[in-house]
Amino acid sequence: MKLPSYSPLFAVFIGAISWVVPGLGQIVLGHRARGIVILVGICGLFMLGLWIGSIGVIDPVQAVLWYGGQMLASPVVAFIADYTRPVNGIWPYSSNGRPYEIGQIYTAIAGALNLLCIVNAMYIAYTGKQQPDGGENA
Amino acid sequence: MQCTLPTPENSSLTEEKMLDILASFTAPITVSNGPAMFGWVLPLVIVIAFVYKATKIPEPFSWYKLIRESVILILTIVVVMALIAAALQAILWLVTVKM
Repeated sequence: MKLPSYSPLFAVFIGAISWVVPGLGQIVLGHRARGIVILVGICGLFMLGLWIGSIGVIDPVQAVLWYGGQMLASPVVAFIADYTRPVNGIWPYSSNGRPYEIGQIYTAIAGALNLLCIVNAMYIAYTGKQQPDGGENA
Repeated sequence: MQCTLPTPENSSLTEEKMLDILASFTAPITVSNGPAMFGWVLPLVIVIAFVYKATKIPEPFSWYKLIRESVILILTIVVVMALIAAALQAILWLVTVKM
């Protein structure tokens, strides 16, 4: 099925696939290099955050706001959260201190960056052109 | 269905390596509390700069332009953060030592 381009529906579809896999929206729209940079950057940052603080940094019970930011990176985060939820009041993958903070910052910023990329992909899908640069160092 | 965990007898080297990699995500690493801790900001700044610039580089896409502008942005962020840290340190010194 060929989706109509430059329509709100097409932009929403591109936004949805960009959320599931960061950068996929740009790749589907033909901006392959741009999409690959986004994919490698966001997934790399998210994985690095998980490696530093362990998967325990995804905490939908005690760190709801951070979890909201992490969810922006991909819906896959919800599947990881299933493993990190406390069972009978005990966290299976406990993490605390500096690694926990750094891991949360990395993963939540990966989510915030993905939001930026989702908006970018939706803009390209709706208007058919790249967002304006806004100057040399914008 | 019975699930068999890989053991040295029934698993290949690749499986063991995969399990080692997965296991490294289940416990936090050790992060020092010294000045070296600030080095952890660098991967974050690098990724932010590259991803942000990837969304801003106009068509036709140029790797040279992406790298050049990302490096400028990384240096700008690091230098400005260092200047802010120096200014805050100076204020702290003025408040605690001079006053």
